Amino acid sequence: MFKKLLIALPLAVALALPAAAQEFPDRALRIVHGFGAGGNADTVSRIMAEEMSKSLGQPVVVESRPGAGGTVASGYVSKEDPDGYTMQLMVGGHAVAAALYNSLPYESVDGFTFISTLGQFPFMVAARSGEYESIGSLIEAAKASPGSIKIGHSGVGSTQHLTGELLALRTGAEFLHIPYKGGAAASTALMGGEVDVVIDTGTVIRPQAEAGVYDILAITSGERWPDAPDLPTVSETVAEGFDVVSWTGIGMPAGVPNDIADKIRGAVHDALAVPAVSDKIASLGAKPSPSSGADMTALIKGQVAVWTDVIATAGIEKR
Amino acid sequence: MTVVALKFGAPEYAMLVILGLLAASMIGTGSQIRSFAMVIFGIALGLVGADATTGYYRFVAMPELADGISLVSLAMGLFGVSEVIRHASTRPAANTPTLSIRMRDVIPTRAQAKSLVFPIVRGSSIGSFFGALPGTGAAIASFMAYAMEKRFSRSPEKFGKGHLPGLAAPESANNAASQTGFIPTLTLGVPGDAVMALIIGALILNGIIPGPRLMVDQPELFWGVIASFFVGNIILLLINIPLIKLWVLLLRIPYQKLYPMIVIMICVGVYSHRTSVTDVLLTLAFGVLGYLMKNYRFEPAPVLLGFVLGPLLEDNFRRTMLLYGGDFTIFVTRPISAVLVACSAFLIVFAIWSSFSTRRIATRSIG
Repeated sequence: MFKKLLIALPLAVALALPAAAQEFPDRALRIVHGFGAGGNADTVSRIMAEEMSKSLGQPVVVESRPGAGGTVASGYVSKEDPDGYTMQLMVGGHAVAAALYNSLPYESVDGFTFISTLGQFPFMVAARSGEYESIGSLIEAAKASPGSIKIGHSGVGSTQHLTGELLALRTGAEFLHIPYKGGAAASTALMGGEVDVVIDTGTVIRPQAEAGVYDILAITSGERWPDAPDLPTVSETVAEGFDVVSWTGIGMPAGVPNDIADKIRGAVHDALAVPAVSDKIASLGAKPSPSSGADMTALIKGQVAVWTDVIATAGIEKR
Repeated sequence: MTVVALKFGAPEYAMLVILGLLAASMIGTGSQIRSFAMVIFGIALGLVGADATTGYYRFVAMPELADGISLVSLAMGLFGVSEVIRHASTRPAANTPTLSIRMRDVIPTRAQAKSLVFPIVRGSSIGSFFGALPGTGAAIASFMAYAMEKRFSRSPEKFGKGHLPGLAAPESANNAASQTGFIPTLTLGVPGDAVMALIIGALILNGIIPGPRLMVDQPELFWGVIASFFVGNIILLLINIPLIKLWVLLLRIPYQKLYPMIVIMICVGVYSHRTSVTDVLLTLAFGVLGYLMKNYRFEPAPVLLGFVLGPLLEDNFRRTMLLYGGDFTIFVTRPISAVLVACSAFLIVFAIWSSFSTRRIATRSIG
């Protein structure tokens, strides 16, 4: 035993020395996300992992830890070593979760080192083609008979649901919010006539709008969206100051050294500058949006405040 | 097909599930009351997790359970691990004598082929129907086909022991459902189940967004997928026919070596599904439960059906109530829903009638 140790010790030291001298990163990195394989989060993670591994010179592995709206993954990542090897692909739901859950196993803002947002995307308010002339006439109809117009959403506590609630709060109209399991199911219900309106992302709405099945009544971003400049915003039509964009972004556990965070941020920004990557992110309905860590932190803080307010006023059950 | 799928709203789904549950309580070789109890147990397991209508957490003992118990854990535990425990607890039986399988043995005899025509037709039609309905999918289709076949069969006691129609019907349903599952995916851009969601994800990754325009905008992709069904199935056949000999060899592996391997494979498979250790532990727990259930002659299949269909029923029933202001008559005023209600009523009447008539035959033969 002792003999074996004698041999092993110098060997270990010899192996460790060059590793310590090497620059970050000297081994594989990973991007953890909290959703199922094949979903948008998974798709974006894989696009980013592929490109970042080129500039970082190390493999980047995508790891899915689905559960409880992404909070399982967030709880896991926030407790990992802040050595720079663990990243998390976060989505807008991270800010929603902070407002929705009574207790989370992590600090939503202080528990992370935010690196950069990747893409920002608005939601679209859609109805079956020809049903409503504009978002204005929808709101009028909803005010004329409160609670008769049904909005299908992708799940209680989803950003889509809360956006619908926020629309009701800001316009004073009253809707019946109907939960479905995912945006695709809500969209099917709109097609079949079970609900009157669906608020969801461009990936769900736009193929149907292009086929003439839906009319897009308005877009939820504060300003017109570069990708669809003809669409009026909710803010300019029925609720001034209305601004909901969801996002994807990269976060790390709190306490990552600045130089490592900067290096990762650089790799993220470089990847976003590659046309193939930005095209793919655009095809998911998002605008590529490289940002600073401070901007991402401010974005999340602002959204936590808005959603906390919506959840309290709309009387949505906290978890 | 797409039009019918769209006409399927919450009331229709709710009634379809009730019909499914009624059919389900008829699967299983034991008594009706036992399998009914197991369906209820399955429904109870399905309650775990966030309530879809309000988001309220039910029986969420740890955050990993927020999305409910994983179907994979339950199925692998009840069917896989429990078998291993059962075999480990009995004296190791002598291995099946090595069969030398010739090509001729693989091809069904004329009588066998004849007896399989109707099971395959029935299985395929059930599968095609459920596959095209978003949100149901191949698993439900297989179970429904199995239940249906058992009802139709003149020898239901052979089911669960390698009876050919009992294999052919659910397998045909499974195959049919995985092909028709592409109908909503490719025509509406709506994934019917997790596998279809994965395919949509892969298409998006390549810059193709499935939707109503896909067939017109990307005909080569659309027809390519259709062609791949044919090619894929032929290749599957070509791969598997020469390998049958190899698969049969698996029976020669001594059980004491085979079973640990099976358990490890199950654990790896379950873990990779959601990368959750909780799921693996649950699988083992369900294995013990499944073993106990079998010892007390409770069938595991109805548990699984209750587990899958229960939440679907609850969701759609509550959604119907929300949509139509709590009006129960909606279930009989909508045509598709009304037909489903009628089918369920027929099944109940049939079950009661058949239990009476068998009893009469029994008494007559004694008398």
